[in-house]
Order: sequence, then structure tokens, then C-alpha cells
Amino acid sequence: MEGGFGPIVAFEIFGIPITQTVTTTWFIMAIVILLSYLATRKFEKNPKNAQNMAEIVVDTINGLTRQTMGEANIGFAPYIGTLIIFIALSNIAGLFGLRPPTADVNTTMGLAIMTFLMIHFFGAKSKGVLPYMKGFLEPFAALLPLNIMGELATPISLGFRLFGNIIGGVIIMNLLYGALAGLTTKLIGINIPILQVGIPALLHVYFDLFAGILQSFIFTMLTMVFVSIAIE
Amino acid sequence: MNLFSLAALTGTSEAVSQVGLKLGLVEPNWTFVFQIANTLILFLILKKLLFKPVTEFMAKRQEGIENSLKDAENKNLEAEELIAQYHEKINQSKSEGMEIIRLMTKEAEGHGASIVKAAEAEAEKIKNHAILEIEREREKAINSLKEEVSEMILMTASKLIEKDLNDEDHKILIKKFIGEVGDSKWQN
Repeated sequence: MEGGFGPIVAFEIFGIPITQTVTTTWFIMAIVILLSYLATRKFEKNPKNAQNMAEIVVDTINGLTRQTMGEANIGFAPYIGTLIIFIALSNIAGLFGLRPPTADVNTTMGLAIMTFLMIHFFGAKSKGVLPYMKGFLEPFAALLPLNIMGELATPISLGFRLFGNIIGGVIIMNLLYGALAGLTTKLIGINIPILQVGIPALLHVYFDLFAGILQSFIFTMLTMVFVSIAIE
Repeated sequence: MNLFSLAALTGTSEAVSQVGLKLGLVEPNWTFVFQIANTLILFLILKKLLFKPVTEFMAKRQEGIENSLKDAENKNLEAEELIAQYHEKINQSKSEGMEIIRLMTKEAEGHGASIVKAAEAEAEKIKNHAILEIEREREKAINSLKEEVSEMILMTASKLIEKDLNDEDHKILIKKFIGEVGDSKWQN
């Protein structure tokens, strides 16, 4: 555990370090793309297993987007869906012994910056650039710095909320595994960490499944809400 | 290699990227760029591979189901219309049948009446004939009776008086007498 809880550099391309975060992300992408391909390879009127799953996922995401952003903004559904699928699978990655990509501030801030750009791009697009800029002078001009700070706070809070929740889980699970290993040696006197079996399962369910899915939902919901507020 | 040098936040990393090195907990670096690119790539692929086709397919299927339902409704309406038409036709046929029966009955009644009339006429004729026959028979009987009686009277009288009477004269006499008596007696 020396060096803290940061991601490990997996390899380098032309001197650019590729970390665990990126490789795990590629792995998740590959799985998602493969499943999507298999599920939508050939459509049938009477959906079978894989197609059924794909339909449920897409329909749920479409419904969520429609409900939160309105029928007019249903075009956001694919991005929202990508976001929720990617974040949820990233958070769950801890269950499979991988380091969650969302436990890297670069991932969460990258996503948050994209949400930030979306908020301002689509806000300016729907209201016009000048009226949108004028919005920062509301309710009066002196509040401009506060408004700008408020806007900048959005991606920071978005990114660090997700990051904090997931890295917290990673750290606690790491500490627990370390403690259980030490405890096995101390209590039973063998160097095989038997106590690591079973005992962390409950915490995995909480940190990886519950908190992970909840945080992916929160991030996506907030993105939808911020963007639709900016558009209105 | 760091894009930003905020590694100081954690103070855990030398920020020299080497394979196998553990990076800082909050350390902005190239991963940021990679993750944005990864997300965009995943978004584009999923949009093309998952969201667009599935949404389109479901919309198409929904449309198909709606069309089928509408079709079925139309067919139902058509069927109801046909049933109504058939009912009307059946009713029409019924009333037509009734009309025919009524006409036939009337005709038959007329026919029957004429038959009865003819029969009555026939009966009348037969009756008249019979009456005539009876009359004739009666006349015949009276005549033969008259004959016999006159004969008997003649015989009795001749026996009684023992006198040779002129047969022809007496006969005429007696006949005349009986005829007078008989006529007044028979013709009540």
C-alpha cells in the first residue's frame, strides 16, 4: 500500500503514461460495446433475452430522460445512458477486483467538465449567446463574480462527490483487507489471509453496489437537471 | 509527463510517470484527456449501436401494434355493420314471408269459399233432383195405388152384387170417384 491509494501506471505510449484507470475503462467499454452488439445484432418482434435486456435498459433511460428533461430534450438520452452505464459499471468494477475508474479524479473531473460544457453550450444555444451571458448579471451586475463562482462550483462538486464516494469505498476496502490479513496472521498464526473470505462481502455490497449505483444515478440526474435548467 | 502539477495536493507522488509506479490520489494527469476521449467514444458507439436502433425498433414496433389495433377495430366495426345489415335483411325476409303467407291464406280462403259455394250449389242441385224424384215416385205410387184400389173395389163390388157389370164403364166410374176422393185426401 506504499505510495497511497492512487492508480498505478500500467504502461506508456510515447512517454504518455496509461494508468489502471484507463485500462479498466477500456475493459468496461469493450464489454459494454460487445454486449450492445450482441443484443442488437438482429431484432425480433418478440424480444428474446439479450434484446429484452437492451430494450429494458434503453426504455428505462429514455423514460428517465423524458421525465427529467422533457420530451423536447429526448435527444440527450444516449449521452445520459452512456453516462449512467459507464459510471455504474465503473463503480461496480471493485466487485471484480479491478480498481474503479471513477476512483480516479481525472475520470470524474473529466465527466464533470463535460457536463459543465454541456450546461453552457446548450444554455447559450437555446437562449442565444448574449441573453445567456446576461443571465450572469442577474439579479444585478454586482453578483457577476458570485454567479461565475457558482457555475464553476458545479463541476467541482459533481466530480468530487463521485470521486470521494468511490475512493472512500476503495480506501476502506483496502484497509479492511489489510486489517483482515494482519488479523489472520495474529490470531491464527498462518500467512494465508483466511479471514478475507466472506467477511468483506457485506461492505462490498454497500460500497460497490449500493453506493456505486446510487452515485452513478446522482451524477446522471444532476447532469440532466443542470442541463435542462440551463436550456429552459 | 503531468498535464497539471497539482500533485502537491497529496504529496504522495514524485509525479514521474513510470510503469508500475503508483500515482497520487488526487493528481491531474493525462488520464483526464484519455477518460474524456473514452467517454466520447463510448457515447458515439453506444448511440449508434444501442440507443438509436433499439429506440427506433421499439417505436416501429409500437407503431405496428397501434396499427394492428386500429385495423382490428376497423374490422370489428365492419363486422358489426355487416351483422346489422344481415339482421335487417333477415327482418325484411321475415316480413316478406309473412306477407306471402298472408296473401296465400287470403287466396286459399277465397278458393275455399268458392269450393264451398260450388259444393252448396251441387248439394242444392242434388236435393232438388231428389225432391223431384220423390215427387215422381209418390205420383207413381199414388197412381198404382189408385189402380189397385179401383181393381179391388171393382172385384168386391162385382162379387157383392154378382152382377155382370160392364167392365169398362164401371172402371171409369170408380176411377173418377176414387180420383175425386183420393185427390182431396192426398192433397192435404
